[in-house]
Amino acid sequence: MTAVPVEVRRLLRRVARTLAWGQAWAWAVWGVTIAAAASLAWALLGTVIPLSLPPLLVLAAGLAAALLLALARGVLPVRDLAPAARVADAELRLRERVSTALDLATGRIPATALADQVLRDAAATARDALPGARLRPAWPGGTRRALLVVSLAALASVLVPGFSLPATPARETAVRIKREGRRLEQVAKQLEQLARTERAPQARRTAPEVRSLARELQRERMDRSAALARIAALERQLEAARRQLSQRIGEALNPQAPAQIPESLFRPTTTLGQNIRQLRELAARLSQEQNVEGQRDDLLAQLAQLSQSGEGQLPIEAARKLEEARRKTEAGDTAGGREALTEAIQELEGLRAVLADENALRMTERELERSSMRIARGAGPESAEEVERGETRTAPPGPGTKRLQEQEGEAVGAPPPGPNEGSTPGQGKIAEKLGPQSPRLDAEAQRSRVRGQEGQGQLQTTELLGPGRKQPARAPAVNVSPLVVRRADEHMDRARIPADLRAVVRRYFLALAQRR
Amino acid sequence: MEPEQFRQTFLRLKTEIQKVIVGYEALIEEVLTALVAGGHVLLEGVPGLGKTLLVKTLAQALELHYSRIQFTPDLMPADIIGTNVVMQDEAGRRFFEFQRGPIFSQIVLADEINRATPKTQSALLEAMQEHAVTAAGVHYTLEEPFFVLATQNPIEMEGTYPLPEAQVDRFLFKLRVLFPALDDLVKIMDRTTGPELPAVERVTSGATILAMQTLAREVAVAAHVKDYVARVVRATHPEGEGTASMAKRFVRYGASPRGAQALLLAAKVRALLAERANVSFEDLRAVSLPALRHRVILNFEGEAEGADPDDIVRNALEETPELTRVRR
Repeated sequence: MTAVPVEVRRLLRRVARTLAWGQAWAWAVWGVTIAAAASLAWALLGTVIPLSLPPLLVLAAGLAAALLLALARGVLPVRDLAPAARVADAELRLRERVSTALDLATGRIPATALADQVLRDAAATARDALPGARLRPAWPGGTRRALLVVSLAALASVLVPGFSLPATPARETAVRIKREGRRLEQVAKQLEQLARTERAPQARRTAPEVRSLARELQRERMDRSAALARIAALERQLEAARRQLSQRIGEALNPQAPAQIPESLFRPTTTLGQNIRQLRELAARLSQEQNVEGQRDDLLAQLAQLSQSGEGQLPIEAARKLEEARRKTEAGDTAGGREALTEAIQELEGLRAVLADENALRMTERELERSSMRIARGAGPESAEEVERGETRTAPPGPGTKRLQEQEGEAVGAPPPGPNEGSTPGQGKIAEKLGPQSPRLDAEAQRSRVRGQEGQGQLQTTELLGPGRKQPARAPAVNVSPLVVRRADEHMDRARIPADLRAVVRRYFLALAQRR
Repeated sequence: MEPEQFRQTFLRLKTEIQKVIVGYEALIEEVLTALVAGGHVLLEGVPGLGKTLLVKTLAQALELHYSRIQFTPDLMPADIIGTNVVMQDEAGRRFFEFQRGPIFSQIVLADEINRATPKTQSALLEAMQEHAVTAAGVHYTLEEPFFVLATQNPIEMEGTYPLPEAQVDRFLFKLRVLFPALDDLVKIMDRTTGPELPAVERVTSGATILAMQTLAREVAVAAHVKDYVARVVRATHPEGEGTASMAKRFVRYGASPRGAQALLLAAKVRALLAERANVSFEDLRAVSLPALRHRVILNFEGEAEGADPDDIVRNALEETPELTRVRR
């Protein structure tokens, strides 16, 4: 092996770089075409099967991958210079001087007595060619096709999502999304009512957002991926708000360790309500019965009991006010005791509003998660567990607080109203808890019977299975086997036919071939 | 020998022949190419076009032993190779002595070769391929350089015996001698009907021709160029990968491996003439018709349609890409 002349090497590197970029471009065109075609297919598939990834995302990911791959091809160093040598010879009209020299230098072909001359010749040619050695940028084939497919894919990724063909899983999912939209609208109404009754500011702010989401879900052409993304965004927003509320509650209960919140506080706001009611009664009694000694002792005892029982579960400030009220009342300052008691009540009412907000957000999050799960699961039948829990039933359009009250009632052990009244968890049959089964179809079955006498009316045919009956062959018999015909053709090819008779023989055999 | 000396010798030879032969520049160049490549030539043309004169002039310019064999139906192999004749010495003892035939020359003109029987034609086979003959069990090596030029008339077919494929395949080139152009015809008349006939001088010797043959074989060929030759030859076959469309329709058998050898050898000579020490695609294209046209055997349809082997070879060249592995 001999060294490749410097001029040749320089020329080849230049050509190889151009080739690499040309190939990178070709790869990019192909990659983009494939990515766009995949995105187009994905968009069309979405009209039949509900898909979680939007076609635009598929298109963007495919395009990015194709372009990255092409970029890597263009940037990576070129090791084999032989293709570049061949292209340089062809494009710069070097009469295969460079490629032959390279083959000789790299030992690809055996050296000859003229090898040195070949190398010298190639070096001189390359030196002459180098100043103007600019290859024309090759326009890769399929560029127009790529542009067309990308345009179609982009158009499809904007227009097609949300469309679904009738009687397909995609259509059923679209129906489900709408149904969930209606359900979430009811949730929004519940939130509004809760905001009014409980004076919960966060619930009031959240309700319009839930309603907006619900209306979006009921919009035409809402596909699964968009619906899930929208629900997830609202879930994240609500979770952030709920965390802030939890933080506030924790700080109110125990400023030293705000994260430790008693579990009982989240479930029964009614406990807090009972406390407030009791305190109000005490405040009223304090203003009416200040001169009765025996009753004051009873009042003091109730205050002390409330302070003790609420220890760790009442806000620090409220507990301090209670204690102050007890001390003032005990000292005979009933006015001061009443005032401290009123302040404690205000503290507790503030806490109750925050808890109501927190509960409302928690409930909304739960509902959103359910909707998300149902949409993600697609058009399948609802699970027995859901049916058992009654989750698939939309909330009745009655007073918004009803459902929340049910949940709170369960927490304190009160029996739920309706068909489940009197039942306890873990006992009784499901049918008893749920009541009579609701009709599954909006139609009634009609029973039809055959009337008349035997031998009358239409004939009925049924499929009969059995072995085939033997029949005589109807295909005409072939006189000459194809093998013989082929051999005849071969012999005719070999036969020497006089020039002036060729046309005659050919006509004869063509006529034979037509009759064959 | 140096490449420049090679070129100069070739050009001197060509110029010397052109003193006698008017026109036919390409034909003369192709005949000389075959000579330098070490192959034989089949000249096809109607009578009176100067085929015999061309060969004779070539022999004079080279100062080689020249013999002419007029092929006739009654010509026997022994008339070409030679035969053992009974001789008598001074003592009256008789013995056999091999009488050399006209094949024992360096330039052999086989005139109207298709008029002899196949048996006689085949007498040339060994001589053309091996540069040797065998007579009565004795092997005789022919003197180098050995160059056979055969002629045949394409029109008059009556009483002829077309050359068998094996015979045709042994010719490096098949050249078509066409009717001269009008200007050339006038020049021919001037030159041959005047008081003095042009004299041919000896330009070079057989030894120089042998040196030129050796140098021609030293020309380098890139790997992809060789690959191209193989693919072109493959494309002339009716079956297999890369078959050209015309070959698929009109060809019974395509060019043999000898075709590829002929193509490459002739291209090497042409490369040296173009002041290059490597073969280019252009060289291959230039010599492809004379090197391959006689190796393409037409099928019945090709014969009936009057397909031209030249068109089939051109089609094979067109449909065989020079660069296959490089995508731009």
